[in-house]
Amino acid sequence: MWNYEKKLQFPVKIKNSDPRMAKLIIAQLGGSDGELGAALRYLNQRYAMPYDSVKGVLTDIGTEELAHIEMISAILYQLTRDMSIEEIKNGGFDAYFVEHTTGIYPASPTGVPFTAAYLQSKGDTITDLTEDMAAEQKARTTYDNILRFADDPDVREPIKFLREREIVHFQRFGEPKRKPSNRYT
Amino acid sequence: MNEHDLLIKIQKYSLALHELVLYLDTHPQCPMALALFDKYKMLKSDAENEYVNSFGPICAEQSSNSDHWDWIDGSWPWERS
Repeated sequence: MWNYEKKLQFPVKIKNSDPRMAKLIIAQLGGSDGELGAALRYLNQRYAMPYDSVKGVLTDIGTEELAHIEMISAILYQLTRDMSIEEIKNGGFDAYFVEHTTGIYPASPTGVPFTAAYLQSKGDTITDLTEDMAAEQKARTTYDNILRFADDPDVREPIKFLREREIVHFQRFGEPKRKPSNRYT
Repeated sequence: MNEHDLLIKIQKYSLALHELVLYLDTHPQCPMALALFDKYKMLKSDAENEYVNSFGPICAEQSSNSDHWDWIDGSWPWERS
């Protein structure tokens, strides 16, 4: 089971709203390679996983992804605070605003709602771990793309942290396959 | 106490605590609920310490075995009969 801790994994303190940035960063909440899909992917894959160390990795990374959903949501919340109607219009946030106001809803930047079709749970160790490694790289690419558009250091710092976590997770998912001395146990 | 019975005890105390958490979320001033929360927090904490010392960690940060990382030792909760 899970317990909630009343803190973010890494600080998010954004002073200036930026609805255009929020529209891009929502990719990591409800998009095809986002944190919500990551959490569901790993936590669901645990049950058919036969190796205790990999059950541990899936549990612990899946749990961390839940904290990343919260960080992304905090970024979206802070980027869409105190906006004027003009700012909403100029930032291209009007279509989202009409449907959700400033509620946090898991959708992609183009408005496609989150779907479980973004993830797999195949019941095969190699298949699932290979999917997981690809998923981490796809998320890392998405963070790289977000960083191409983000100038504000308040936004860049937490995004850079999340990008680094993708690399660490990729490493952890790949290790059991790569080192003979560190086989699945 | 054996592992199964101790775990059942922790689950009972945890649920009692959680029910109090939910109730206190909407009744933050209730002195009876606050007192019960204190009582069950203690009972759960004692039972959990006993469990962790005898049978291993319930959450990863409770792991204290210096020989190996016992957090990943089976069985996992969904495998227990």
